[in-house]
Amino acid sequence: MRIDKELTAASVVPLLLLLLEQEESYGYRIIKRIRECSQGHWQWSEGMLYPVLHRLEQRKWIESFWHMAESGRRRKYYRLTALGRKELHRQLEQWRMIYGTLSQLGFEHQSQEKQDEREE
Amino acid sequence: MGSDIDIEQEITNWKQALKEQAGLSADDLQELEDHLRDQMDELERGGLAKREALLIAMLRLGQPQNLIAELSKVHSDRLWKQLFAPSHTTAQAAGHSRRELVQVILAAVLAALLGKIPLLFGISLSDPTGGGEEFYFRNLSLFVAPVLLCGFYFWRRFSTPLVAWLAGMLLITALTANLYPFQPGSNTSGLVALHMPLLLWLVIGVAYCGDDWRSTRAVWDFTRYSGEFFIYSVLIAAGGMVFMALATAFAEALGIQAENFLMEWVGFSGLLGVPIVAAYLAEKKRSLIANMAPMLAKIFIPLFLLLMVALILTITVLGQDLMQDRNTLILIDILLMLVVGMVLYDLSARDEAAPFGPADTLNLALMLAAIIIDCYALAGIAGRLGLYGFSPNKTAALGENILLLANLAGLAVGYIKYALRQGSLQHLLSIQTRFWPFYLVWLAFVVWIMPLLYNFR
Repeated sequence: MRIDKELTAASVVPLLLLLLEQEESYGYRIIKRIRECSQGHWQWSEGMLYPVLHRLEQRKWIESFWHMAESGRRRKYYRLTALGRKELHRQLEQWRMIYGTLSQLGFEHQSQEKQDEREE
Repeated sequence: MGSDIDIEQEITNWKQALKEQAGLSADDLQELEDHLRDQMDELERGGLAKREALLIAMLRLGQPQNLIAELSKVHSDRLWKQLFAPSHTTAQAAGHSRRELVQVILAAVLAALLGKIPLLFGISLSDPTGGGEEFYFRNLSLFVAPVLLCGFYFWRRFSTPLVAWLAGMLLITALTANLYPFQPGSNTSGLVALHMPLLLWLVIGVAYCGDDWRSTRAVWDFTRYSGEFFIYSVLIAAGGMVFMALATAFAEALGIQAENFLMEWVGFSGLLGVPIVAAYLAEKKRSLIANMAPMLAKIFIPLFLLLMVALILTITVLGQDLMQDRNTLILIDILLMLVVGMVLYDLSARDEAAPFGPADTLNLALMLAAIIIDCYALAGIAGRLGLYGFSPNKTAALGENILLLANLAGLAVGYIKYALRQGSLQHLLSIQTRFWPFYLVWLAFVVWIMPLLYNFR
């Protein structure tokens, strides 16, 4: 399944903030984590991720630091800032609202029905 | 292992491409490199050979162009900000760049102060006889060149014989320009004024290359540097002119008689500071302007080609004599100089691995058109020399004309050979390096010896 470009663009920031709230991470690992969490369906491209990371850093929602990796190379890690945590909660609030609206309109029910139709 | 070295080389090339095309900082590059290597490690663990892993990892990261387009959207401010505030993360590096900034400002002030030394001898720019103006015009480059030469010495630390040679060139130029008893408003003084900056620029070029001045690579680096220096100077000077125009207009609006003061202290000092700042920027920020300059060349090469084809058609079809006006020879010199400059600049920024393409055909056409025009001009002037003899201006212009023509012809031959795959680009580049000493000798002749030959007329 492919996620629409617009939907990716809209969700990449909260996903990144959420991910970085759980653990400090770096570009390569972030892409891997997203792939894992989406059961291998969602492959973020580097060309999208790094610009977004840098933009979030400019906004001071996340901050970066260099750390020596096990590989012996210097690696750039990102972590959430206090400002970023606030932003995360603000955005999650909105997502919850969207999700709640979808639920009210029978979102779970709909997708279940579709599934059943296909299985028949 | 040989292939390991190849792979490291590939990674270096990839980084270099990223670095040259975008305003990426060293940190950004390292971040991307780390990503590339992580990807490679995982692919290798999955059973791929190192080389295959590299290819796929590069493919995943996307073409440098795509990455750059995305990254520079975020950092479009950085492209300009980076000029003065590099994105170093460590405090030490930040301190280093601050110190550099202070040094550049001091150097610019030093050049401005050098320009004030003649005041101690009572030579003023606003001297009503106009003699002062002529003096400053002739010596303009002498206020700047010592500062630049010192700067390059601190950057490069070259050997004593080279220092002696550079100092000698500077000293002879300074002495001849100021001890010769030029007649007021003389042609030879004007010629010295026009040629001295070029002569000193070549001397600075030797300092730029340092003890490597024999290497083709270093000489071409300087060629590219010259183009970038020129562009930076024009940009800064344009800003300076806007500033001066506004300042003068405000002074006038307020009824303050400040025009002379502004011209002598702000305008003149600024004028001397421009090349210092431009030289620094062109040296330190080479990857930035590299985006702009080849594009400028690509815009203007076709335009100049059109102009010259129109000229050739007018001369051949209408039978117009190109040499009717005595200023034409100078015009042609300027045209040839621009053509040589643009072609050299384009060559210096060229990817050596790229095959002969449409842009090269344009370059070649431009050179051939310039050669044809120059031949017309020379034919025209040959007929007149017998009648009017050699005036100082004509001698100087003719010398340059012949030099530029020889240079263009040499380049064109090298280019054609390269197009026919009979010679390498490397050979073409090395042809050009052989011409520079001739320019140096001719310019030195015009500045040091011609005034003597013509009795300072």
